[in-house]
Amino acid sequence: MIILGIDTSCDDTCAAIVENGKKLLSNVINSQLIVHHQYGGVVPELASREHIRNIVPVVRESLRKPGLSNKDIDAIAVTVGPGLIGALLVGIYFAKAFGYANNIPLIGVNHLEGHILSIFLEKKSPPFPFVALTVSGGHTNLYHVRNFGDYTVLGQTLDDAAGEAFDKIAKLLELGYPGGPVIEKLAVTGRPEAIDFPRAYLSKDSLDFSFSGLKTAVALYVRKWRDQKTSENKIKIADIAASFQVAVVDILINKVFAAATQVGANSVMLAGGVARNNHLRSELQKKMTKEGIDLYISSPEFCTDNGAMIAVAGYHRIIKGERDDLTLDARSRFPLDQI
Amino acid sequence: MKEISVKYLTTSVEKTVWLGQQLGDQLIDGDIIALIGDLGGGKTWFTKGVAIGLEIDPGYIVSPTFTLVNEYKGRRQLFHIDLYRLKDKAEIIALDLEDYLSGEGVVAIEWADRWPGELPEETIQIELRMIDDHTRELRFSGSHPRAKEIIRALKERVGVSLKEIK
Repeated sequence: MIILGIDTSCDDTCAAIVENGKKLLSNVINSQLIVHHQYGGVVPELASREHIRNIVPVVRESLRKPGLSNKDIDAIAVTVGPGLIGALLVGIYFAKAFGYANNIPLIGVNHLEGHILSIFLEKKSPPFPFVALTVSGGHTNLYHVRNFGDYTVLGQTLDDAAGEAFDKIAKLLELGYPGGPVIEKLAVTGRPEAIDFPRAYLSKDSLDFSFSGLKTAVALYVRKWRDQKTSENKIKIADIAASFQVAVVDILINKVFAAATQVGANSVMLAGGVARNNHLRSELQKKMTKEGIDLYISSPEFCTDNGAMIAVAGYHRIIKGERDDLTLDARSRFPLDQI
Repeated sequence: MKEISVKYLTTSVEKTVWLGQQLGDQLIDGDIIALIGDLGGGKTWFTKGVAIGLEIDPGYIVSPTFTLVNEYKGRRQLFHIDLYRLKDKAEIIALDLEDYLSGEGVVAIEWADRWPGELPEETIQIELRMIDDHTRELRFSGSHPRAKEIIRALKERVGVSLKEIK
């Protein structure tokens, strides 16, 4: 079964084609296409109108690459939430029209389910049950994944997402956007032990996250640091980046391990934009190896938003006989246990 | 119209949330609060308090920086908007953010100083200032009769200006 997966939940217009929930035939994201267009590398941020402009060329490209046409597609899967309503609606209306015109099933997918199931695009995927951490600019969630479609939310952020903390600290340090890659790059030359930023672990049993306290501590630190910045100041900007990054990574690893222990899982998977952070990947790998837990991490191209993960999630719903009709609507908030 | 204002000091996140609730308790459809202040000032946590006042589970309230707008349903609808990532007026227009000001629910806008032009005159402005790690100064101000009514009611509940919240 060949499924076209669409994701327009944020600022990338994504389309991909996946066969039988496993084999990737194409994976197209607007930021790649845009360089070939008149925009000249300017990635238009978040505007629904940009999705409208991009959706048809992106889907065409996803079909052209593997040499397919509309009639080769057996079903269409589309993200319905969580995300920005106006952005989501573009993908949803496109999917409705495409499904109706080609007389194929339509299925709405939760974006976070997509992130979790992105691991099934890899050669090696975890056996059920496992613990999943999805961590990006918009989400920091821990799940107990028992089977396809069977998820319990174990924990989530109470304030800022981890990726958001990276972006805001990068902006504060005037490093540019997106914050994850620039902080990671700078942190390589910094000393992670230079500043002991607070790690909020909340209560002992809590699997929730809080990054706003850390963000505030860094903001206050930077303010003082700038005031006293002299040649004698031994703290470099790279030290701040490294100390901040290690605090975020410590918090994430602590909670992932606590979650695996609480539910007795032997496998853990990591996905979402922040999962591209090499420090997180290597430190989490060390910890999991030490604890005898198998770690699975999605490939970088499936960590950021993409249509392939939506096609995978859609596939597992379609084969169970699930279908959506033309009343399908967007949901800005869509907790995964409310599927 | 003459502006009125009141200032409070909170010494913990919990107290900031409590103060938010004292405001949220009074809000009805059409009320707009503009939150202005530094990174880490407590805008999202204050909004959690507003949510409690609107009978919304504060556990749902997270930073809307990424999604730009979060919608919640309680005693009234709450539209929680964040302008942190927006660059210019074209984006605000493209996202139809002005539609949220049409009075269908309560609107809380973080980084409201990035709104191009004027917010509706009934807006209550809340400036959050970081004094130290835990202490925040919150200044509420407004000049429209509705904004004044809310600020006066807040004073009645919470007390005189510059009071430290116990």
